[in-house]
Amino acid sequence: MNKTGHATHDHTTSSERSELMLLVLLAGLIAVYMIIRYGGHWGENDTATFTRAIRSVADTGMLSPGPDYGVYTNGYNYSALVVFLMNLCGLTLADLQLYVAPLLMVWLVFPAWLAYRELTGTARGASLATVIILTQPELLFVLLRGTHEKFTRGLMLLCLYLLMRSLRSRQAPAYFAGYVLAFYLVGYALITSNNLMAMSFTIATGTALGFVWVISRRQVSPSQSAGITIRRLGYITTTLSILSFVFLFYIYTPALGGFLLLKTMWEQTSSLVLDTGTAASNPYAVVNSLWIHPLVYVVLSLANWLLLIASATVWIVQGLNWWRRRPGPQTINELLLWAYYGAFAVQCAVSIVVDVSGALASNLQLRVFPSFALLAAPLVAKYLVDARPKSMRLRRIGNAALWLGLGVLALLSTLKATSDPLLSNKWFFYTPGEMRALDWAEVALQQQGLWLEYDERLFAAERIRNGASALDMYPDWGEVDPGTQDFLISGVTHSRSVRLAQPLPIEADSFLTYDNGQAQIYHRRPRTPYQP
Amino acid sequence: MNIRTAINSGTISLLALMLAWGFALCIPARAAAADAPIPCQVTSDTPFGSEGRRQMQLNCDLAERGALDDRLTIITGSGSAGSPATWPAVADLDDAVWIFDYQGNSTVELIVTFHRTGSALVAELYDAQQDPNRLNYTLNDGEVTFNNQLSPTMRVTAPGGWWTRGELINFNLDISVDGLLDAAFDMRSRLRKYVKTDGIVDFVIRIRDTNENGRPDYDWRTVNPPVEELRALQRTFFTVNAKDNEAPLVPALPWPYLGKETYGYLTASAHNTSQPPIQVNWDTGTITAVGEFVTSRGNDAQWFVYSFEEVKEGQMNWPNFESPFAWYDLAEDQDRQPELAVRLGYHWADDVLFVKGQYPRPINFVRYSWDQDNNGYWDYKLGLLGSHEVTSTVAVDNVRMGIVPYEQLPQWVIERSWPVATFVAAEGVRARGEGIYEWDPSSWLTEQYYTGRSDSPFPPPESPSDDKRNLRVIPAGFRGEYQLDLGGKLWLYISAIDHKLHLLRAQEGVWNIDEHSTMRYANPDGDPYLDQWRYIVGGELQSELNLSNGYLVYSARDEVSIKRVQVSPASAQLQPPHGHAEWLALGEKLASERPAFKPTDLRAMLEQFAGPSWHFPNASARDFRPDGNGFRFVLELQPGFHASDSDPLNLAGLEAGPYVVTFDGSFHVRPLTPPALSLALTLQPLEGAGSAVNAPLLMHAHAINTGLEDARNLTLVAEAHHGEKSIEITRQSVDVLSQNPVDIDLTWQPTVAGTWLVEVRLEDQTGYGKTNATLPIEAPVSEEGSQQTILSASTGHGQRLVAYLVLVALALSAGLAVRLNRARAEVEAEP
Repeated sequence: MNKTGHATHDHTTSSERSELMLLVLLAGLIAVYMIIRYGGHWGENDTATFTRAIRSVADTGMLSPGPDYGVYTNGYNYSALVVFLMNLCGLTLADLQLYVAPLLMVWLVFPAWLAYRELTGTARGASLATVIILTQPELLFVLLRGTHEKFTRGLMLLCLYLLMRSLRSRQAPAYFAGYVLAFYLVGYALITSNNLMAMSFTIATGTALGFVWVISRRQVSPSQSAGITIRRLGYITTTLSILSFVFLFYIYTPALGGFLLLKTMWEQTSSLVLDTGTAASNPYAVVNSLWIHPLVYVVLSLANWLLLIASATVWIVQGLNWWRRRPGPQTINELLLWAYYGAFAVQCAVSIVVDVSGALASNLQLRVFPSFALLAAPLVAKYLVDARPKSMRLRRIGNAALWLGLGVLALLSTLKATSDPLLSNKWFFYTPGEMRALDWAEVALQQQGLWLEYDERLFAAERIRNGASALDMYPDWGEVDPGTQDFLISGVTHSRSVRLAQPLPIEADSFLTYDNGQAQIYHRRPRTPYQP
Repeated sequence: MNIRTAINSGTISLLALMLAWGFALCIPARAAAADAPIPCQVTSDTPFGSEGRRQMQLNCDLAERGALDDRLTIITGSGSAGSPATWPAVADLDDAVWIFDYQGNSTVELIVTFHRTGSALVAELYDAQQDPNRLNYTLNDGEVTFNNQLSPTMRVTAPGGWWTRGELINFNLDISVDGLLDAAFDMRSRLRKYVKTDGIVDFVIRIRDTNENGRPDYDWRTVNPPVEELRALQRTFFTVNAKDNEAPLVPALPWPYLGKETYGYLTASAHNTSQPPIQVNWDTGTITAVGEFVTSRGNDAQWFVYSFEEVKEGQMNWPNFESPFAWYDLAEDQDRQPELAVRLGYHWADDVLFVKGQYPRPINFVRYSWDQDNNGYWDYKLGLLGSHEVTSTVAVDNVRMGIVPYEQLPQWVIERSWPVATFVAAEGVRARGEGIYEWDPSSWLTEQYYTGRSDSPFPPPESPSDDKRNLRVIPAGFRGEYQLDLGGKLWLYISAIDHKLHLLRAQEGVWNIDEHSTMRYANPDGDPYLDQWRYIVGGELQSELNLSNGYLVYSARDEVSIKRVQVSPASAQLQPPHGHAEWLALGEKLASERPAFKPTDLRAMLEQFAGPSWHFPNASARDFRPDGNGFRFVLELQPGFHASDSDPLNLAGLEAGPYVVTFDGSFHVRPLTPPALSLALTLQPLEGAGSAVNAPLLMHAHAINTGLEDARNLTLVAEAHHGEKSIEITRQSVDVLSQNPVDIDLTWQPTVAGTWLVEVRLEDQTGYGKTNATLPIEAPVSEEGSQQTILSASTGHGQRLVAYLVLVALALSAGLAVRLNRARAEVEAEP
């Protein structure tokens, strides 16, 4: 290599390093913003649920402590990891969930970059794709929470990376064996993190196999690597299915319990394919009530829409070209990226149909979309890297629009992912006074119902804050339970009542039983001999 | 029928009755096990296999149809050659196979295999379950091999190693049931979706006869519910015979527990003999029931526990739901017909089965029914609600339960205070079953009102009605009374006015005489006694009697009578019977108080007393109510009325028309004036509160009626108006009685800023507004909803700037990463 070549290579390596550092910085800043925005005074339902599951594991030293404990029925990985970190760092569970969990999302940058380098074929494509996924609000939302998802998504990307590497290392048996072994280890870790999402990945692999087969059949001279890839995808689908089966039926039986609770075969099949475990009924109309204006939702979700439209266009054009036997896929990686995208797009489409029908759950799209986005980002990134308008002026405008646009999208997506109360009607924050009022209520209102606002905001916060210790009272929120006689009303509750145009549930002649300046507790005046 | 025939048939009937009674008394405690009543005839007896087995063919009458059309094949155990081949001596119950072919059509309906395991005897029962091919089998050297893979529907084990000893039947049995049978109360329909014969035991039944006298002492059943129904189904059914007087079993077959379909799971009728509990429908070849070995209802000395919480051996158990339901022989006549049934329902504090575990006290619901005249029908019942913790323990063998002991239960109920009580008398109906069900505390009363979850004891009109438990209505033939704030022990009294048994301190009552006519009872002055009787026919008031301040005031359509009486409202006051002596005493007292007049004849109730009285024909009275220390009513004088001499009302000289009569030690009569209603609405100032958006406001409505006519059945409507927007604040029923101001507090929050006008009005039943009042309220724009307030609350002041900087920095780093990326692309693209 000549001197110029060395210089270019050095420049490239240095630039790659800089980009990677910037990506880590970007992910770190998003996490830091989440922490600083609420000063650690935040709570969220799924994080609270996981806090309870982690508490069960920490208290008993068992991954599946039994029916009397709250466990996360779809996997134990995150609970075990947090317990390990608690012991390693000497941090409390609450501190880990509130301060460390958002920061842990930074790790996703590495498997994402590695996988995208394989899928796009270039480091530039990898960096661009990683920036794109860090501007996806739906993905950021699940990464910032104290739940398994940051690891589940990362492990999925790691699986893709190891799959690609193993396909490229067939000529080096030692490497090949290492990558295959590593793939199945990571695959099992994915199953232990969330067996439903792992099954979703397995099904996607099977679907991708179908896409690869279809395209390879259309080629004039199918490559040998296509056949090998199809076989590998078949082995992977089969092996991961067996591992999931063993996990479900023998290793972690709470997962089976949750699975069996789904009443119909349709529900069970759908949950396996579409990665959900809960049933609800609330299709997309909820958007209007979650944001101060529907337009705000559209603007904050711009990154989702742009990615959806751009990736779908690229995928369709690419697919049509290959179908028409114009130049086929240049590499097997390109074909695999296209096939996996198609597989997750199918899941996404089915989930939207299921959502609208209300047959299984209302938020499937929310669960499947991040997986879809993880494959859409490299598809678009690869197109952007490959696209090179001849006009320098056009290139400059395009480049400027891209970096400016992604910068703005990063800002908007962060606001959406953190559910900023200035824009969102779903609030995660609390005030210290509200927690002091709850502390008082836990002593003074034992075994009494206490209304805690229009949603689970304070209950989730309290559950995380106290490390999921049992509450000796009956927390109540939303529509008032008839048995509830006490109500926690704070300044935030007043603000929320105005924002939601919901009246406060107290009557004017209620007794004021507690007041710390920031929050009050009222007791409803008894109307019968049997009301306390 | 002539007299002689009648005498003869009567004599024969009497003799037959005496014989039957004598037979019943003479039934030995040890039932005749060997004397199987089903007739069978041995048709062949051949050696079978190489181990000395025999195969016998019998013709039987399994369903007792009168013909030996059914085939029974018995393959005896090894070494049984030489035994007599006569029925029932051929019965080998130690090591044998019995194959039942009902109607002899070569289709097997049931196969029972008997064998010995250790010292225990085991019988396994396989039924065809409507499938003629299910029990296809092959005989190999004396062994039955099923061609299908089958699990026994039942496995009966006698750990003692015997089924019968002479006439004595063994009732120490362990039974497991695998399939959808009637093997626990009301479980068949509930388990229909989940249970089949699949090798998984669905019911475990333990029968014990501790003194081995052939009469089972207890019958303990455990249901193993599917996971989906783990919380929703009762799991334990535990029945105990308290006096070891279970009716003896009359076997149908040498194996005494098996027979045709008879009583199903249980019989509530008193019975002197029992039938085989394992019942087979021979037509379908299905074991349909494992009936109670110890009767839960058809006897007069037993108790049972039905519990959602599983009762287990060797631990302390706290059963919930019916724990216990006990039956007593108050008459001490040992006729197996109970005179008292006490159902104590119980949930401990925070039991998840009661209002989702959100009630911090225990809950008791009691049905206390008794048969006062010992005719086999329930006469009275009390329905009670309370929160008494059960602290006593009962042990049955090795099973310990936290329940009230059988012997103490009636006393336990009587000596406690009960907040809510209903009392029901069966006046014209023959009530049977588990007691009088009418006016058991309804689920609304129990779960909503008593727990404080609702302000009203009555469910909203749109709720599904439960007529038997709705305190607004009662089925024909029943008389009911209730008190929802009793707060004391239970006392009954016999009224000196109508001579019926009543609940002391009842707030009101109703007797549905025959759907068309009703007697309503009320207690307007709130003393312990009912003192108003209103007889209504076809929805129209026929007559009314009131007792107040030593006067009885009777009114009918065209007459009014007033009588000064010296009478105590109660001729006797006593507690509900809880033992033989109290039961007898109440019966005697009721018999001595039985009136000579019709129970609906209110005039006769008036005339039974001596005292000065005044009769006013062509007059009627209405709206009788207490007033201060006396009472008042409206007297309608019709043309042609006349007053008697020495009339204390001084009606002489008055013109026809309506008058108000008041009594405050003496009578006063004034012409009636119509209601004159006025209404005022004021804002009640609250400390630290002002009118603002979503800030609750307290308003006070004050209604007064200056007329002499009461204004009843009005509706107070309050509405808030803001521009085109109108919000109903409340709509509630209200009576504004003459000279009795009514004060009503209203609470409301303005939902948007601006000027509101709050209006209250009183409407009559047609919706016509009688009077109204308004109040303007200014609600300023709330600062609570401003973005500045929300930003302040959600971010600490010191962190806000940092947060903004981080937000900008992350946007910059995203942009910078992309810019670097694109720049590198340009560099790499350079030739």
